[in-house]
Amino acid sequence: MTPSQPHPWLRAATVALLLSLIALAGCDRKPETDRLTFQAFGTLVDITVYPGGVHDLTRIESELSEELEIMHTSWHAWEPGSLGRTNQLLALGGEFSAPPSVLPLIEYAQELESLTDGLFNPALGRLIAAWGFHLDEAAGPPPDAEQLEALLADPPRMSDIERRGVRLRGNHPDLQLDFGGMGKGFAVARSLDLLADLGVEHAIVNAGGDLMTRGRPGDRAWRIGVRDPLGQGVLASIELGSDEALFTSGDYERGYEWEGERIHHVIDPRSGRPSRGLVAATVLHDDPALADAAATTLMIAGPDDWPLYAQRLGVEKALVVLPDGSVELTPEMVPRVEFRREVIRRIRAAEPGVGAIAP
Amino acid sequence: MNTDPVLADRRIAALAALAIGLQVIEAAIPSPVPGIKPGLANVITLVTLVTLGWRAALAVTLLRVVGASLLLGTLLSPGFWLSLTGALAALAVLAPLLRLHPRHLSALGLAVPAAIAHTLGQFLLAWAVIIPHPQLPLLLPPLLLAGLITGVVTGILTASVLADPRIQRHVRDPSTTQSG
Amino acid sequence: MIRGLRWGDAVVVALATALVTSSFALGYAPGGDSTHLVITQAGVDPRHYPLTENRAIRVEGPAGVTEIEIQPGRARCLRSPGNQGICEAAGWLERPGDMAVSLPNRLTLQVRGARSDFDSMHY
Repeated sequence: MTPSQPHPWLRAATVALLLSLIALAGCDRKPETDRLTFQAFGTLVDITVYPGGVHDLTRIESELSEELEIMHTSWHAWEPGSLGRTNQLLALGGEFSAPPSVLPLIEYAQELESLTDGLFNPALGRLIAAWGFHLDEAAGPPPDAEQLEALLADPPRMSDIERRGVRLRGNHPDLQLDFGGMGKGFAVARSLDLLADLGVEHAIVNAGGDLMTRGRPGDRAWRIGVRDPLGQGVLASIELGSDEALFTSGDYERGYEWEGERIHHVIDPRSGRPSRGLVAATVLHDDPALADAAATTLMIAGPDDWPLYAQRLGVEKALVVLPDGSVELTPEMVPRVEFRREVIRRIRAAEPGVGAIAP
Repeated sequence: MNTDPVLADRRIAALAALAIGLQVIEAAIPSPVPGIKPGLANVITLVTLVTLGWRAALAVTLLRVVGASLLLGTLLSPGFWLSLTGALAALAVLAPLLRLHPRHLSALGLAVPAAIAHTLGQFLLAWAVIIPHPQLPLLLPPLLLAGLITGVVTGILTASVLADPRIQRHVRDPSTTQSG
Repeated sequence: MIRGLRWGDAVVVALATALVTSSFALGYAPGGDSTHLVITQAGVDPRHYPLTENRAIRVEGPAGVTEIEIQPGRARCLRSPGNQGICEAAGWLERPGDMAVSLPNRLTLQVRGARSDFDSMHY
């Protein structure tokens, strides 16, 4: 070992030292986005806009919350509004002109109901109400066996709505529309359009945890944290590009305790009871209304059949959380998710040829 | 190796005087960043360690810390305790490393860990006792970086002092004679 | 160049550099320690509280009082109106981005760090 020669390690160490100095100098603390949070659409709405510091946040809040409140009233199943009025007219059985705010939802829901063999069925408003989920703060008592039997004897379907142009007729006396499983998707999309009218090109609209992006924050992707449905903290992070919607349906979102049992808001039309077997279902898609409805459908489909229904709905990227904390996801979802904690994960794809629906 | 106790005491006294002088001069020069100083007195500690062993280095360090604080009027103040803790932490790390000198480590290889230990010791005392503030750890990375840089500087200075033939004669190497 | 350098010097300097670099990485990385709690409530400007000392906060909402507890580096929803206990179930909020929500009281609690980890939280 010649003592006077500088060792290559010393040179490497010097380079590392210089790099850490550069990293220190590069620390930039300027907020690149603005956030605002307000209450609308019966939930908390959180808007992220890029770039920070240039938009009129007060105006954005007032215009957006006004528009969201209008949508909330028109699509509320049990309050006087467009949907409330539609429900009354549907029950009467006569022909009437559909309110323009409700018609696109009815058309879309009919399509989704036939794709999912009735697992996604917004015509079952009476069943939802029987469980107490028509109230803002859901409460029991849940329906007893007799009531459930009556509700499920001849359940209304979306196909019981006869549609000719804008004229509608209800052919089932118990038909009550409840768009809880897809209205938020429409609302988020319309909020982004409104933001674009206000000059915001890059934004995330997050309504009660379900969100959609438009544009990009500079040259990077949007970074979304996915909260752990079974406990605190972050389960995973997902990077989103422009016009991507991320919707989750979970048993923890709305519900109440009844005689020691947890009653949640995702009701399975087959049993008439809260769905079982999945804690949460998450869908990533460019159509927010589809993502919203698909998340609900996968929750109802349960641990065995969710990949099948994802495939039927044209959903490639989905993820479900099981009660034991493990996670199942579609092959297309795998590269999009970066887990933030140790988690058991299985990749599930719809098996070709399996078309039967569980009884 | 010198065994004359009087001569040893004189050497320690002379080195301690040098160290006190350096520390007082350094205290008079305002630092661009508060809390960060070059620590030139550590050159004397290292030279003492290498020439006279760790007992002498401990003596020089204690004399320097107490002596300088007497001159600066900071005896028993928080600054005094920080200075003492840093110096003792550095010595605690140097004592085992001394065996590797000069065969595997030069003065630079002694000065860098000493400076890091100095910084860490002071920081832990400050955090645990003087100002227990939860945000204080955010100060540690820049302080450690400063420690690394001052360690390299004092190491180079110490190496050049030790390279002087008048000092070189006294460098202790238990296994071999000087490798010059 | 300095004379008398040994191989051990390179090892020591490399180790010290690694220590300094990792201290920066740990201390300043996103996802590091949370520094403040942000409370948002419908119709009110967001309020910021540093996570530096023990503190109790009471926030009035439409459904009652939400009690929030702050300790150095973390915060939690101690008691909140609503029969589901969602706010309390979020537990201690420690990592930047951790969040608790009280829908009855229309408020969110989120701890944030020096740099925000996420653009939006999905739940």
